[in-house]
Amino acid sequence: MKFKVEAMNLSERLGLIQGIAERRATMPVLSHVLVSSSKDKLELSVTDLETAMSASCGAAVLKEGSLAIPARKLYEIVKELPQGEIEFEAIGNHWVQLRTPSATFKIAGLPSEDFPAIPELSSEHLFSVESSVIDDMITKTIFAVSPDDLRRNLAGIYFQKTGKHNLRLVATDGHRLSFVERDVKSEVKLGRGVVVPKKGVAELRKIVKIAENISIGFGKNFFIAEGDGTILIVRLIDAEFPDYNQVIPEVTKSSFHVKQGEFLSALRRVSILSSDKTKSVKVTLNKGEMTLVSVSPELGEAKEVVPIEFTGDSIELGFNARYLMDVLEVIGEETVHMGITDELSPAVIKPVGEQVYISVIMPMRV
Amino acid sequence: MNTLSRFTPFIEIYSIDEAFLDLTGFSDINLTEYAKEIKATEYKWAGIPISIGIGTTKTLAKIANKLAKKNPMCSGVFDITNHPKINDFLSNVKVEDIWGVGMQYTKLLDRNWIFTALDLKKANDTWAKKNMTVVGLRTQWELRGVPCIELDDLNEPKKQIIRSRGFGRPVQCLQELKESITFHTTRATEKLREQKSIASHISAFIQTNPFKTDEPQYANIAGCYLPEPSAYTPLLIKFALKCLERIYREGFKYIKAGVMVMDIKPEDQVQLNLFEPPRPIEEEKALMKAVDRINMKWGSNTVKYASSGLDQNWRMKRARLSPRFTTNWDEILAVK
Repeated sequence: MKFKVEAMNLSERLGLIQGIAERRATMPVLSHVLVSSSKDKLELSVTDLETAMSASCGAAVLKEGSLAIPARKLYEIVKELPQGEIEFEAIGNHWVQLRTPSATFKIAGLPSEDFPAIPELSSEHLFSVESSVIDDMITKTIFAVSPDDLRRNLAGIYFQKTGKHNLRLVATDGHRLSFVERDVKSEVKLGRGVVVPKKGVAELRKIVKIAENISIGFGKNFFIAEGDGTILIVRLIDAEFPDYNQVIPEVTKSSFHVKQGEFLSALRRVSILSSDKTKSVKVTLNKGEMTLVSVSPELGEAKEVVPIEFTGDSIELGFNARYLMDVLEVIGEETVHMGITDELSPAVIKPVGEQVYISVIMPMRV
Repeated sequence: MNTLSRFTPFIEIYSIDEAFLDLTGFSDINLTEYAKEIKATEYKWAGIPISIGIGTTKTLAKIANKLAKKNPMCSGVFDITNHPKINDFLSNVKVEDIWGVGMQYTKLLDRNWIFTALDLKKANDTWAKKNMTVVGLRTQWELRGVPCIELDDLNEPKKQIIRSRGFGRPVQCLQELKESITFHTTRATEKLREQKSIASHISAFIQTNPFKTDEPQYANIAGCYLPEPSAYTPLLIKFALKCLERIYREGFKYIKAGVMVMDIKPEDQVQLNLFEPPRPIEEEKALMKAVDRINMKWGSNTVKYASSGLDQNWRMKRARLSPRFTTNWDEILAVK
């Protein structure tokens, strides 16, 4: 293997994919990036056996070949090199030599045969999505993904086809649920609903940031995304996503409209004095106003009144302020609709606008 | 400890035989004389000889206590506060004898030519913070007489509860491990309710004897979140047993099992679950209250969970347990 590549191009590509390579991998080769040179391009691949990412960039290939090189070390070196060409050459016994006009590095690698085989990409399953659309959908749902790895079915975002051109994303941690639906440019090629793990979705966002349009698709066990010469393959979570429709209230007993900015900033202030663990705030609804109260025996207490359009009966509920803030931070509309039934039933938050976004939050017993 | 608490309301029971007493506001009286009175009262009422160290900080009080023990002239009481020879005393205290300095910090301090409490007191603050974190810096300031470590509030709820015991004999079968896990979960949830808390997470762990190197070794822990934070014993038992089933392996001789309850929150702040109907919390509370009251009045285990076993012959032998002369009729001291 011998090739010349621009340091900046290589650094960008390595920066994009090297996060997947594990620092303390169970198998040494999983902390490596597979570097393959063929024809006039260079292909870089990393995997942790659940997620795999490949990126390619142009290179002057003098001799074809491949080698697994420690991903983080290679990235650190390339990142620090000045702009210009780097020459890579395999020098035997799985060592690689990097040369610039002024510097030489020799790095111990591993044979490319040790690197796990990455599933083949079949383009027939792919459909095109605008990056801004999918990015917005992920932003509106990813915070609700369960952090508990043991609840496998909740540890990712649920992708579902709801119409020929309609894609729905849902995430829940069991206490709250976020649901967003959008029209996409091309036909959604997705049979059954699938759960894409959070790590894979986080990697997808990296591609979305660099490419205007991406193609996504679903294989039997894999989620695939492609954009700007980068391919992401994520193993789907093999578990049933709960029947989320049953927990989204169709109607609520009462509802009100509130300015997103006022509600969010009041919550931010009041929650400073709520318990760090539970972040609980008491929300009292009265005619024309909502009172937010937090009490912590060790810290003190806070109270703030927010004007709302509310005409129902007075009610007092407890909420995790973090859950409310997470929704309000991403809702993207000036006015928010909130529907409530009673102290033990889920509350619904949605934007007052055309976009389909619903967040369901269970109250706290306070 | 009851005797000690008569001398100040601000007391931290540090261990079974050690306590810190906050005497702030007692400056008008002679503290050495007051400490002698405490010592005499404790001996008279409990028959226990004690030594008392007095200092402006907990760290200095511990050093004073050590000096009181060592020096017969002190009669078991020593006040290091504002002592003109305080630096002389500190220069005779090795760093490993300072409260809060463990084996690793001792090695670090030795490497940096800090051998005594006086050396540490005079060491550079920035160095101490960088190398020993803020914990080391606190110890250093405490040696200078600046109180940085407050008395622990006894009423502060525990952040995690661990219950475990070694078995009286090696246990191999899953059923007996289940009994033990049920037993420990019952105890842990009693503690939870005692401090008016609920928990979201429970783990179960098991281990073989690491000192029997000729036998196959295995130790593991598994945990899970509850559908809703709770202190309801049957619910926590159910999930603890599920955790145990995940880690249990046949063919090993286990010597210890236990549970760890975490993510503890106040019982009046329960996050409800979307996919589970709200638990009948009032009924659960009433049931647990009744069980706790029966066991409090008639003795631990009067009402117990069937899954904790009837014989419990895996429990510790406790062959050398001191007889309960004053609290158990069967063990009352007989006079010939």
